[in-house]
Amino acid sequence: MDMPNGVINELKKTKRTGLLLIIIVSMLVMVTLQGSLGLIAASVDENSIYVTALSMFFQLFFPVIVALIISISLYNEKRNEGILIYYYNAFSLTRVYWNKVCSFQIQALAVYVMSVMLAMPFIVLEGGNPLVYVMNNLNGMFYSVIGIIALVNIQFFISVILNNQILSLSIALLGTIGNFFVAPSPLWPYYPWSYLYRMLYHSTIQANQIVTVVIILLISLIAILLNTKRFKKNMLVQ
Amino acid sequence: MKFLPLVTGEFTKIPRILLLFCTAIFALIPVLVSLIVYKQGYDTFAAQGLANSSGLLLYYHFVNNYCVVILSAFLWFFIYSKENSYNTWSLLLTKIPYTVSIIGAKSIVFIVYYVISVIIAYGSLLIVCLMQGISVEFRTIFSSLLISLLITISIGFLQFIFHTIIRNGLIASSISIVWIILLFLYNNFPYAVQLLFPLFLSTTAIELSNLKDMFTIIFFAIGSGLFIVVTVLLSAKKQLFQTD
Repeated sequence: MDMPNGVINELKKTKRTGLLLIIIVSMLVMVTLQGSLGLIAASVDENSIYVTALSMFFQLFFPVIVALIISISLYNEKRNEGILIYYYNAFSLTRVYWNKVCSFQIQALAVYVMSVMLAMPFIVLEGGNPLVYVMNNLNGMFYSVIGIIALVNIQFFISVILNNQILSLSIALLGTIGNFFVAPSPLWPYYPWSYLYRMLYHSTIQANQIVTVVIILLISLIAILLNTKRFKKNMLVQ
Repeated sequence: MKFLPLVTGEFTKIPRILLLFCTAIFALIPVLVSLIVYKQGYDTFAAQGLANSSGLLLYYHFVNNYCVVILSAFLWFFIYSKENSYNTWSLLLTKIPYTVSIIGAKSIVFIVYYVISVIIAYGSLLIVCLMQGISVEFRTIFSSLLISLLITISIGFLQFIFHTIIRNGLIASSISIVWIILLFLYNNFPYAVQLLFPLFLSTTAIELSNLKDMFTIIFFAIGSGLFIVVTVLLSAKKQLFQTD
């Protein structure tokens, strides 16, 4: 199966699991709650309402949503023996692997874009211009995209290596709790689950820290490049 | 059918060694984190008069509440939600007609694993105290052991409610993030909610008793025991298998 059709196929599979409802409901509840609390507070102005609205969602929900998308896809694939159909119809399993990686990246980026769009009305209500805000903070959003790609790669690597989806999900849950302790400390570039939350405060990031994040992104890309054999073995042996 | 063979049968279904390994890890994480925080902020602990085992234990309980949420999500996935994914409820119910006894056996398996995690945590806490030269007060250790055994376990049965409602185990265990957020927002709730909601029982008990007053701990333990019995009895009313 060629690239665009395969990716669209994977997206349709995720749509059928009913995850979209959970993601949208959690996003609406958390972002609107935090945003409206920020509107009430007097100390929050139009420059900091974006951070106020999104900090809790990025700190606690986003890593779990990424892990859930990956885990549920691999779990259903194994349980319904979907990969065997590709195998018997002589599709390359390496192609299926890369389709999955692409679809996970697209979904995680889509969740990020949706949450950013949800935070924009609060900037308007506070009396600012969202387009001006985005133009001023473009480098922070660029760092966030790098962080998301690294996080998805590492989570997918853990899921395939452990071959146990509930374990990888609980590692992500532990990662969100570790955010309380690691994100304020100087160790955060080595801790992928805190990237997105830390990138909100991009003005305090130093150059050597962003270089560390890019190096971790490259390491994660190499790791998932070498992981295809393990994926085939896990999926075909029941 | 007798009750004891049912419990041993439940133990044979689950991957025991994996679960033991993971309970040990989830029990050791709060001990490690509290030790690091205690060593880093020794001066602030000493200024409050907590430069002994009680300062370590107060921080241990703060981290432990979060870890129990994840541990219970992990355990209930294997104990309860695997039956949904294998579709074996109807097979079980042909052999044992009472749903209460099945769910009772499953909750006993959960309680056994939880008690193992508590034993590992307190054993390692005692070893840490002896190795680092932290002075040990046995009265506070005994009362906090009672809090862990009898009160904090109600968080596990709160997570069990999600697993009974949602058929997909992965989604049910990921929704445990709701309990983590509510724990994070503990101070924003009114006092009545802090006293009555099972998620906050252990935090409130520590705040009220200050790891000394035994009467409040027993009072809260009776409340959490009532909550556990009511959840087990109510979850037995649910129709477990889908009828065509």
